[in-house]
Amino acid sequence: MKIEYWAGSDMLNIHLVERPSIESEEVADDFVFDYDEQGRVVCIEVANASERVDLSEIKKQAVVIQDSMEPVEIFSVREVADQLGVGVRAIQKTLKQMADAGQAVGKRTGQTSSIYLWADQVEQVKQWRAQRRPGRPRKEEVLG
Amino acid sequence: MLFGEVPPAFVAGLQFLAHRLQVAQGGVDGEVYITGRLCLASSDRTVPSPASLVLLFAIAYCYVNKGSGVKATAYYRNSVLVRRPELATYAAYVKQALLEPVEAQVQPDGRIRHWIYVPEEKKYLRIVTLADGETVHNGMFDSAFTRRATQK
Repeated sequence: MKIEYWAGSDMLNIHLVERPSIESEEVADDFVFDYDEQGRVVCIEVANASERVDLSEIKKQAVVIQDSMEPVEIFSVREVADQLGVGVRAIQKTLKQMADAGQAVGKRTGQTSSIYLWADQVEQVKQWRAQRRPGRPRKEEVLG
Repeated sequence: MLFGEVPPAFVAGLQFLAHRLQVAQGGVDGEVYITGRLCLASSDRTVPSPASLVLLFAIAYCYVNKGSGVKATAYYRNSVLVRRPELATYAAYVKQALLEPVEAQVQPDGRIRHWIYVPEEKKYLRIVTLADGETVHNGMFDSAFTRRATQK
């Protein structure tokens, strides 16, 4: 079990097991249960936690995260592909190449799910693609 | 010729838009087609039908929104998307929920709940934004709302 308290947004997460959730239910005001595919509770999320629960004891066991409420734009791989006017597969290949070169960008939200990129990571992808043109290298690039 | 002549600039703009959207362009004399059948406008100054204009605005709307991301808090990025990975799969619905929610409700803390139906999952998605209505803070497939909506 893992307890996280997100101080900036005042959210408390009690992770019972580390499994992705497919559905959620608000069982009481600000108390949300996350369920897995078998309908078992995997996480309890408490919004406005400082009002709803006594945090003094919980904080002793919780990982306290000082999160910023400053919004940041995030992009799906499709949105990045649309921006650059290329296909999704091209961006997926670029992300793979970047990861292989030790410059992994993007956050994979699950083993089989999509990747999200932050705005600055989109710039990194653009730069990487600008530096590495697709196709065969030019003769002068190979021969110097 | 129901509404008079279409200005050439309109036709050029339409053709440019269709080209940018990689819509099939062909036919005689630069006609612009979608799925090869529906003629939106052509350079012989044919007047587009009202249905075509609706389609045009829909395309323009999609084009404007193409490639734009969604504003989110650190909590959404680093906690919600990790716990509920399906939200990333349905990123387009997250954006749509903010623009065309089935229902919206302001929480006592000022944050705003938006619901949208996801036909692929046959469930309703709840997206919670900050009070600005555009910064996504939380999201989930809301089983209680789905039950309530299907019982109606």
